[in-house]
Amino acid sequence: MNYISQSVAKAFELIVSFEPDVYFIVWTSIKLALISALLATLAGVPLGLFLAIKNFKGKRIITTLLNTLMAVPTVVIGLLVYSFLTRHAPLGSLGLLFTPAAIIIGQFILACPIITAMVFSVTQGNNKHILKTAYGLGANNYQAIKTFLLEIKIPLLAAVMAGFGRVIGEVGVSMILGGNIYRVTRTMTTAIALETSKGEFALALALGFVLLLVALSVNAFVQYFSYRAEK
Amino acid sequence: MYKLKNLKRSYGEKIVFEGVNLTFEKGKIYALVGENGSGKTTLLETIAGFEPPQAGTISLAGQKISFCLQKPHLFSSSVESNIAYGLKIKKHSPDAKSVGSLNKKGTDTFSIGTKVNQIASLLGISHLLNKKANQLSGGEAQKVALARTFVLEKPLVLLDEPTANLDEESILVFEKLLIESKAKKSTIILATHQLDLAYRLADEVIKIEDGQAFAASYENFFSGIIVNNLFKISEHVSFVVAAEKRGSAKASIDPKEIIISKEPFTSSARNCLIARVSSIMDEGKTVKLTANCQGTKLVSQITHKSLDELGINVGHEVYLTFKTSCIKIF
Repeated sequence: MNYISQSVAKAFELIVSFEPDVYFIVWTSIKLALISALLATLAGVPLGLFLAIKNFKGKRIITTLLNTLMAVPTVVIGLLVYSFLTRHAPLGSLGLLFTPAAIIIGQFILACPIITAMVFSVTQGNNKHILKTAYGLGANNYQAIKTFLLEIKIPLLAAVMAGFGRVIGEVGVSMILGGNIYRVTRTMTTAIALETSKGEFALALALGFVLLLVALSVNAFVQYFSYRAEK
Repeated sequence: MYKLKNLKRSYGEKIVFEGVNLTFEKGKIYALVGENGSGKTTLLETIAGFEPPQAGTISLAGQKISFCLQKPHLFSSSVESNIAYGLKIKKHSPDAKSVGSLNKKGTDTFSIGTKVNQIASLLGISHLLNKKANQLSGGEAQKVALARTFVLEKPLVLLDEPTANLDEESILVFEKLLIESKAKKSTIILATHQLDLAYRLADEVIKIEDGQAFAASYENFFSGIIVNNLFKISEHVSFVVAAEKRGSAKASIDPKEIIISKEPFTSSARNCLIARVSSIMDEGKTVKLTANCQGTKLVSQITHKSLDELGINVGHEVYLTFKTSCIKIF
């Protein structure tokens, strides 16, 4: 047990001493997760709205596919994207493999189904009523959608945060597509895996604590926002 | 004038309505009545353009509509913002030439706040203006929904069950609002379960049944004035009624409740009128007998056997007897 307490102490030392390597890894993780969650939001929100509002053939198939994608292991997504980005693959000439862009692509594929499915679920319920109310008071399409998004801001934020949560904590995509390259594509999760395999528990634990802190901050933010909105 | 021509709506195999032809005139109130699931809401939503009809046309001349939905959604902001929603949207709408155009009397500067305050005061919800909409009771929320619908002063107002959750006092305020809106030449189409409200307020009551829409009329439906428990239809014809209501009212008597006799008879019924039979119509198992009482026509429904036993024919003088409790006052 002694080595655990020693590792915890060292982890805090690494965090409070502003160790550049630690902060670079943390920043890379947050930056990539934020970008991919943002892109997934931009695609997922309109897609979720479209699926909920429009009736068309094949809608059930798409929703089933979305639910399946939500449960796909991250390494599988990593592997699939890898097969497109590797040197001899169709997109190999773009040279994206083992770059932050490759991680963003993979993480986007991870987060998008979650955000789409959550927006779809929120919109499908009684919330269709919001759009009808807005139209009934003279709103045009743009005004009605804007009103709708404002009305569902809390579940929408929860959907975005769920997407962010999925990507900040994933390891499969970052490892396979990023290659865990020092000061380039090393994220918190890949660094934790690497340091643990090297027996460097202190750095792994320090990054683990930061990851927990990020998750806690995200949830606290959503809770605070919900509380403010209800007040 | 707004016209619906051969309108059809269905959900999958189920036809909600078909071949609906209706005309709505400017400055009139129309009430849609019918059972649950008869298609009242679907018809209103089709008129509002939420979903296009599968067949038929809707001509709405400019489509300036405000719609108060059944179970309206209040936006998660203050009551004031909710009421002002439509006005603000109009102000920011790219096709709005001038907000002042709403005020036809001339003042260019149009205040959304003034309009909101006026309608809130009329509906007795001024004290709620700064409250959050999610803190309201069902009745208060309904009044806010009505306020934001009527504040827009649109030429066509659609109301789906507008009196749901409203107490009697609030219903009277709503009626006042409706009449004011009608005076401003708005056409109002309301769907309601409350037949008394429909017959009291509407210029025309439209019944939706089995996918068809048609004018619904009560037999023995009269307009009159209630004075000292007497419902006066004309100078010569009046009934004793058991209603607390005073002033203008409408009344109906179920034809089955009117007893026909050739001689007056002693009973607990407090109404007995002398009339002359003007028509007798065979209606299958029963007979519809219409009698004229000093210009007022009353219909009674009796069996063939009763008619034969009484030996009544067109032109005969008869006594029409009915209890006060069978007179429905609107």
